[in-house]
Amino acid sequence: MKWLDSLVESKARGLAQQTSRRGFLGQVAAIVGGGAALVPLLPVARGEQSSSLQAGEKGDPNSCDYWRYCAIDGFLCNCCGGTPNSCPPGTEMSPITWIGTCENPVDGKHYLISYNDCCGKSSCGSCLCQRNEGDLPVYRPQKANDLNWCLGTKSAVYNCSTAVVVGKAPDK
Amino acid sequence: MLAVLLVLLVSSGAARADDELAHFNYAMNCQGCHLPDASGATDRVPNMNNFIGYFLRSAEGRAFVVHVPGVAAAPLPDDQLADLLNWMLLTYSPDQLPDNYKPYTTAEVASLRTEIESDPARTRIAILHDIAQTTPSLAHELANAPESAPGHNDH
Repeated sequence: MKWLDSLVESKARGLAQQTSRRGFLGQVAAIVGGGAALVPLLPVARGEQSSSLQAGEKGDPNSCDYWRYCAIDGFLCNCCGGTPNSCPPGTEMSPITWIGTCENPVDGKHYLISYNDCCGKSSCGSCLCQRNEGDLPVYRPQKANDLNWCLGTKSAVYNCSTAVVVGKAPDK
Repeated sequence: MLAVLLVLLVSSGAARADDELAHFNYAMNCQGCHLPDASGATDRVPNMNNFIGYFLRSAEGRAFVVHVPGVAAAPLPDDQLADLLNWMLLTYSPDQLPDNYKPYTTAEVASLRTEIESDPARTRIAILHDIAQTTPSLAHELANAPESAPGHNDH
Protein backbone atom coordinates (compact mmCIF):
# COMPACT_ATOMS: atom_id res chain seq x y z
CA MET A 1 0.00 0.00 0.00
CA LYS A 2 3.02 2.22 0.27
CA TRP A 3 2.79 3.10 -3.40
CA LEU A 4 -0.72 4.45 -2.79
CA ASP A 5 0.52 6.63 0.09
CA SER A 6 3.28 8.09 -2.06
CA LEU A 7 0.93 8.63 -4.97
CA VAL A 8 -1.61 10.51 -2.82
CA GLU A 9 1.18 12.47 -1.15
CA SER A 10 2.73 13.57 -4.40
CA LYS A 11 -0.61 14.45 -5.95
CA ALA A 12 -1.63 16.40 -2.84
CA ARG A 13 1.67 18.30 -2.77
CA GLY A 14 1.36 19.03 -6.45
CA LEU A 15 -2.16 20.31 -6.01
CA ALA A 16 -1.14 22.45 -3.05
CA GLN A 17 1.70 24.00 -5.04
CA GLN A 18 -0.36 24.72 -8.12
CA THR A 19 -3.50 26.12 -6.54
CA SER A 20 -4.17 28.76 -3.92
CA ARG A 21 -6.06 27.96 -0.77
CA ARG A 22 -7.51 31.43 -0.82
CA GLY A 23 -8.91 30.79 -4.28
CA PHE A 24 -10.45 27.54 -3.11
CA LEU A 25 -12.04 29.21 -0.08
CA GLY A 26 -13.30 31.99 -2.31
CA GLN A 27 -14.98 29.51 -4.59
CA VAL A 28 -16.60 27.71 -1.68
CA ALA A 29 -17.78 31.03 -0.29
CA ALA A 30 -19.15 32.03 -3.66
CA ILE A 31 -21.11 28.82 -3.97
CA VAL A 32 -22.42 28.87 -0.40
CA GLY A 33 -22.93 32.63 -0.11
CA GLY A 34 -23.94 33.54 -3.64
CA GLY A 35 -25.97 30.42 -4.16
CA ALA A 36 -27.95 31.05 -1.01
CA ALA A 37 -29.54 34.06 -2.63
CA LEU A 38 -30.74 31.93 -5.52
CA VAL A 39 -31.62 28.68 -3.80
CA PRO A 40 -32.73 28.61 -0.18
CA LEU A 41 -30.48 26.29 1.86
CA LEU A 42 -33.22 25.42 4.32
CA PRO A 43 -36.64 24.13 3.35
CA VAL A 44 -38.51 27.21 4.52
CA ALA A 45 -42.23 27.34 3.82
CA ARG A 46 -42.58 30.27 1.47
CA GLY A 47 -46.32 30.60 1.06
CA GLU A 48 -47.44 31.44 -2.42
CA GLN A 49 -46.22 33.57 -5.28
CA SER A 50 -46.16 36.91 -3.50
CA SER A 51 -44.07 35.66 -0.57
CA SER A 52 -40.94 37.55 -1.57
CA LEU A 53 -42.75 40.85 -1.01
CA GLN A 54 -43.81 40.24 2.55
CA ALA A 55 -42.58 39.09 5.94
CA GLY A 56 -44.71 35.96 6.20
CA GLU A 57 -48.20 34.61 6.43
CA LYS A 58 -50.51 34.11 9.36
CA GLY A 59 -54.20 33.20 9.41
CA ASP A 60 -56.68 31.13 7.48
CA PRO A 61 -57.34 32.15 3.86
CA ASN A 62 -60.77 30.50 4.17
CA SER A 63 -61.74 32.91 6.93
CA CYS A 64 -63.06 36.41 6.33
CA ASP A 65 -60.73 37.58 9.13
CA TYR A 66 -57.65 36.73 7.07
CA TRP A 67 -55.48 39.86 6.90
CA ARG A 68 -55.47 40.31 3.13
CA TYR A 69 -59.27 40.53 3.01
CA CYS A 70 -59.47 43.85 4.89
CA ALA A 71 -61.09 45.63 1.94
CA ILE A 72 -62.78 42.76 0.15
CA ASP A 73 -66.42 42.55 -0.88
CA GLY A 74 -67.32 39.23 -2.43
CA PHE A 75 -66.88 35.48 -2.37
CA LEU A 76 -63.44 34.22 -1.32
CA CYS A 77 -61.79 32.36 -4.21
CA ASN A 78 -60.02 30.18 -1.66
CA CYS A 79 -63.46 28.64 -0.86
CA CYS A 80 -64.37 28.31 -4.51
CA GLY A 81 -61.64 26.12 -5.93
CA GLY A 82 -59.00 28.83 -6.24
CA THR A 83 -56.58 30.47 -3.80
CA PRO A 84 -56.05 34.04 -2.54
CA ASN A 85 -53.70 34.41 -5.54
CA SER A 86 -55.44 32.45 -8.25
CA CYS A 87 -58.83 31.85 -9.83
CA PRO A 88 -60.86 28.64 -9.74
CA PRO A 89 -60.55 26.46 -12.85
CA GLY A 90 -62.81 27.62 -15.64
CA THR A 91 -62.72 31.28 -14.64
CA GLU A 92 -60.58 34.13 -15.92
CA MET A 93 -58.87 36.74 -13.73
CA SER A 94 -59.85 40.30 -14.53
CA PRO A 95 -56.77 42.39 -15.36
CA ILE A 96 -58.61 45.51 -14.20
CA THR A 97 -58.91 45.56 -10.46
CA TRP A 98 -59.21 47.63 -7.39
CA ILE A 99 -56.29 48.02 -5.05
CA GLY A 100 -56.08 48.81 -1.35
CA THR A 101 -53.75 48.26 1.59
CA CYS A 102 -53.98 45.83 4.53
CA GLU A 103 -51.77 45.38 7.58
CA ASN A 104 -49.90 42.07 7.75
CA PRO A 105 -50.07 40.83 11.35
CA VAL A 106 -46.67 39.15 11.00
CA ASP A 107 -44.67 42.39 10.75
CA GLY A 108 -47.32 45.08 11.35
CA LYS A 109 -46.54 46.67 7.97
CA HIS A 110 -49.03 47.65 5.29
CA TYR A 111 -49.06 45.94 1.90
CA LEU A 112 -50.77 46.69 -1.39
CA ILE A 113 -53.51 44.16 -2.06
CA SER A 114 -55.03 43.72 -5.51
CA TYR A 115 -58.59 42.34 -5.39
CA ASN A 116 -58.75 40.85 -8.87
CA ASP A 117 -62.13 39.29 -9.57
CA CYS A 118 -62.47 35.90 -11.24
CA CYS A 119 -65.00 35.91 -14.01
CA GLY A 120 -66.79 33.61 -16.42
CA LYS A 121 -68.86 31.37 -14.10
CA SER A 122 -71.86 32.34 -12.02
CA SER A 123 -71.34 33.48 -8.43
CA CYS A 124 -69.47 30.96 -6.30
CA GLY A 125 -71.83 31.53 -3.36
CA SER A 126 -69.44 30.32 -0.64
CA CYS A 127 -67.62 32.42 1.94
CA LEU A 128 -69.20 35.80 1.33
CA CYS A 129 -66.90 38.34 2.98
CA GLN A 130 -67.60 42.07 3.24
CA ARG A 131 -65.07 44.08 5.21
CA ASN A 132 -64.86 47.13 2.98
CA GLU A 133 -62.05 49.06 4.69
CA GLY A 134 -61.23 52.02 2.45
CA ASP A 135 -64.26 51.44 0.25
CA LEU A 136 -65.56 54.67 -1.27
CA PRO A 137 -68.84 55.44 -3.05
CA VAL A 138 -69.13 54.63 -6.76
CA TYR A 139 -68.47 58.23 -7.73
CA ARG A 140 -64.89 57.31 -6.83
CA PRO A 141 -64.97 54.28 -9.11
CA GLN A 142 -61.33 53.24 -8.69
CA LYS A 143 -61.89 52.95 -4.93
CA ALA A 144 -65.39 51.49 -4.95
CA ASN A 145 -65.78 47.77 -4.40
CA ASP A 146 -69.54 47.63 -5.05
CA LEU A 147 -68.81 47.62 -8.77
CA ASN A 148 -68.51 44.55 -10.89
CA TRP A 149 -64.76 44.47 -11.59
CA CYS A 150 -65.05 41.84 -14.33
CA LEU A 151 -63.72 44.34 -16.85
CA GLY A 152 -61.43 43.36 -19.66
CA THR A 153 -62.40 39.71 -19.37
CA LYS A 154 -64.27 37.68 -21.99
CA SER A 155 -67.22 37.35 -19.64
CA ALA A 156 -68.53 39.95 -17.20
CA VAL A 157 -70.09 37.28 -14.97
CA TYR A 158 -68.63 37.51 -11.44
CA ASN A 159 -67.51 34.32 -9.64
CA CYS A 160 -65.21 35.23 -6.71
CA SER A 161 -62.47 37.61 -5.54
CA THR A 162 -58.74 37.07 -5.01
CA ALA A 163 -56.46 39.11 -2.73
CA VAL A 164 -53.00 39.25 -4.25
CA VAL A 165 -50.10 41.02 -2.52
CA VAL A 166 -48.65 43.31 -5.20
CA GLY A 167 -46.37 45.59 -3.20
CA LYS A 168 -45.52 47.26 0.04
CA ALA A 169 -46.76 50.59 1.36
CA PRO A 170 -44.00 53.12 2.17
CA ASP A 171 -43.09 53.24 5.86
CA LYS A 172 -44.77 56.19 7.51
CA MET B 1 -15.17 65.26 0.59
CA LEU B 2 -17.12 63.62 3.37
CA ALA B 3 -19.64 66.45 3.29
CA VAL B 4 -20.13 65.96 -0.45
CA LEU B 5 -20.64 62.25 0.04
CA LEU B 6 -23.13 62.87 2.82
CA VAL B 7 -25.06 65.33 0.68
CA LEU B 8 -25.13 62.84 -2.18
CA LEU B 9 -26.29 60.04 0.09
CA VAL B 10 -29.00 62.14 1.71
CA SER B 11 -30.27 63.53 -1.58
CA SER B 12 -30.38 60.13 -3.28
CA GLY B 13 -32.17 58.75 -0.22
CA ALA B 14 -34.74 61.53 -0.49
CA ALA B 15 -35.17 60.88 -4.20
CA ARG B 16 -35.74 57.20 -3.51
CA ALA B 17 -38.33 58.01 -0.84
CA ASP B 18 -40.17 60.30 -3.29
CA ASP B 19 -40.09 57.65 -6.00
CA GLU B 20 -41.35 55.06 -3.55
CA LEU B 21 -44.30 57.28 -2.60
CA ALA B 22 -44.99 58.11 -6.27
CA HIS B 23 -44.95 54.41 -7.14
CA PHE B 24 -47.25 53.65 -4.20
CA ASN B 25 -49.65 56.42 -5.27
CA TYR B 26 -49.60 55.00 -8.80
CA ALA B 27 -50.46 51.54 -7.44
CA MET B 28 -53.28 52.89 -5.27
CA ASN B 29 -54.85 55.26 -7.78
CA CYS B 30 -53.92 54.25 -11.33
CA GLN B 31 -52.61 50.70 -11.53
CA GLY B 32 -55.96 48.99 -10.94
CA CYS B 33 -57.02 50.02 -14.45
CA HIS B 34 -53.80 51.07 -16.22
CA LEU B 35 -51.98 47.92 -14.98
CA PRO B 36 -48.56 47.70 -13.31
CA ASP B 37 -46.70 48.43 -16.57
CA ALA B 38 -49.11 51.22 -17.62
CA SER B 39 -50.07 49.30 -20.75
CA GLY B 40 -53.81 49.68 -20.16
CA ALA B 41 -56.41 47.00 -20.72
CA THR B 42 -58.33 45.99 -23.81
CA ASP B 43 -60.05 48.94 -25.46
CA ARG B 44 -61.31 50.42 -22.22
CA VAL B 45 -58.16 51.81 -20.66
CA PRO B 46 -55.62 53.67 -22.81
CA ASN B 47 -52.02 52.53 -22.99
CA MET B 48 -49.51 54.91 -21.42
CA ASN B 49 -46.42 52.73 -21.79
CA ASN B 50 -44.05 54.29 -24.35
CA PHE B 51 -46.84 56.70 -25.17
CA ILE B 52 -47.88 59.23 -22.54
CA GLY B 53 -44.69 61.25 -23.07
CA TYR B 54 -46.02 62.33 -26.50
CA PHE B 55 -48.64 64.50 -24.80
CA LEU B 56 -45.94 66.75 -23.38
CA ARG B 57 -44.99 67.83 -26.89
CA SER B 58 -47.78 70.42 -26.91
CA ALA B 59 -49.14 72.85 -24.33
CA GLU B 60 -52.63 71.42 -24.82
CA GLY B 61 -51.34 67.89 -24.33
CA ARG B 62 -49.43 68.86 -21.22
CA ALA B 63 -52.61 70.36 -19.77
CA PHE B 64 -54.73 67.40 -20.93
CA VAL B 65 -52.68 64.93 -18.88
CA VAL B 66 -53.74 66.81 -15.74
CA HIS B 67 -57.30 67.51 -16.94
CA VAL B 68 -58.31 63.84 -17.34
CA PRO B 69 -60.72 62.99 -14.52
CA GLY B 70 -58.58 60.29 -12.91
CA VAL B 71 -55.70 62.75 -12.50
CA ALA B 72 -57.56 65.99 -11.76
CA ALA B 73 -59.84 64.35 -9.20
CA ALA B 74 -57.24 62.00 -7.71
CA PRO B 75 -57.42 61.98 -3.91
CA LEU B 76 -53.87 63.33 -3.64
CA PRO B 77 -52.43 66.71 -2.65
CA ASP B 78 -50.95 68.81 -5.48
CA ASP B 79 -47.30 68.09 -4.64
CA GLN B 80 -47.81 64.32 -4.55
CA LEU B 81 -49.82 64.46 -7.76
CA ALA B 82 -47.01 66.37 -9.50
CA ASP B 83 -44.45 63.84 -8.20
CA LEU B 84 -46.65 60.98 -9.40
CA LEU B 85 -46.97 62.42 -12.93
CA ASN B 86 -43.23 63.15 -13.20
CA TRP B 87 -42.35 59.67 -11.93
CA MET B 88 -44.82 58.10 -14.35
CA LEU B 89 -43.48 59.99 -17.38
CA LEU B 90 -39.87 59.05 -16.69
CA THR B 91 -40.70 55.49 -15.70
CA TYR B 92 -43.08 54.51 -18.47
CA SER B 93 -42.44 56.84 -21.38
CA PRO B 94 -39.07 58.61 -21.25
CA ASP B 95 -38.36 58.15 -24.97
CA GLN B 96 -41.47 60.02 -26.10
CA LEU B 97 -40.80 63.15 -24.03
CA PRO B 98 -39.75 66.28 -25.94
CA ASP B 99 -36.10 67.37 -25.81
CA ASN B 100 -37.04 70.39 -23.74
CA TYR B 101 -39.09 68.34 -21.26
CA LYS B 102 -39.64 70.02 -17.93
CA PRO B 103 -41.25 68.20 -15.01
CA TYR B 104 -44.63 69.38 -13.74
CA THR B 105 -44.41 71.77 -10.81
CA THR B 106 -46.74 71.67 -7.84
CA ALA B 107 -48.14 75.11 -8.71
CA GLU B 108 -48.77 74.08 -12.31
CA VAL B 109 -50.64 70.94 -11.27
CA ALA B 110 -52.63 72.90 -8.67
CA SER B 111 -53.77 75.33 -11.34
CA LEU B 112 -54.43 72.78 -14.11
CA ARG B 113 -56.39 70.30 -12.01
CA THR B 114 -59.14 72.86 -11.31
CA GLU B 115 -60.42 72.07 -14.80
CA ILE B 116 -61.71 68.54 -15.47
CA GLU B 117 -61.96 67.28 -19.05
CA SER B 118 -65.55 66.37 -19.89
CA ASP B 119 -64.89 64.39 -23.08
CA PRO B 120 -61.46 62.82 -22.65
CA ALA B 121 -61.70 60.31 -25.51
CA ARG B 122 -62.50 62.92 -28.15
CA THR B 123 -60.08 65.56 -26.84
CA ARG B 124 -57.32 62.96 -26.65
CA ILE B 125 -57.60 62.12 -30.33
CA ALA B 126 -57.69 65.80 -31.36
CA ILE B 127 -54.58 66.57 -29.31
CA LEU B 128 -52.69 63.52 -30.59
CA HIS B 129 -53.43 64.44 -34.22
CA ASP B 130 -52.09 67.94 -33.62
CA ILE B 131 -48.91 66.56 -32.07
CA ALA B 132 -48.54 64.02 -34.88
CA GLN B 133 -48.16 66.89 -37.38
CA THR B 134 -44.66 67.46 -36.04
CA THR B 135 -43.91 63.99 -34.66
CA PRO B 136 -43.46 61.34 -37.38
CA SER B 137 -43.21 58.42 -34.93
CA LEU B 138 -46.58 59.34 -33.41
CA ALA B 139 -48.13 59.82 -36.85
CA HIS B 140 -46.94 56.30 -37.68
CA GLU B 141 -48.44 54.89 -34.48
CA LEU B 142 -51.75 56.64 -35.06
CA ALA B 143 -51.86 55.34 -38.62
CA ASN B 144 -51.33 51.80 -37.37
CA ALA B 145 -53.99 52.06 -34.66
CA PRO B 146 -56.66 54.05 -36.46
CA GLU B 147 -58.90 55.96 -34.12
CA SER B 148 -59.20 53.21 -31.55
CA ALA B 149 -60.48 55.80 -29.15
CA PRO B 150 -60.85 54.20 -25.76
CA GLY B 151 -64.48 54.30 -24.81
CA HIS B 152 -63.80 54.74 -21.10
CA ASN B 153 -60.86 57.05 -20.95
CA ASP B 154 -61.77 58.30 -17.54
CA HIS B 155 -59.01 57.22 -15.22
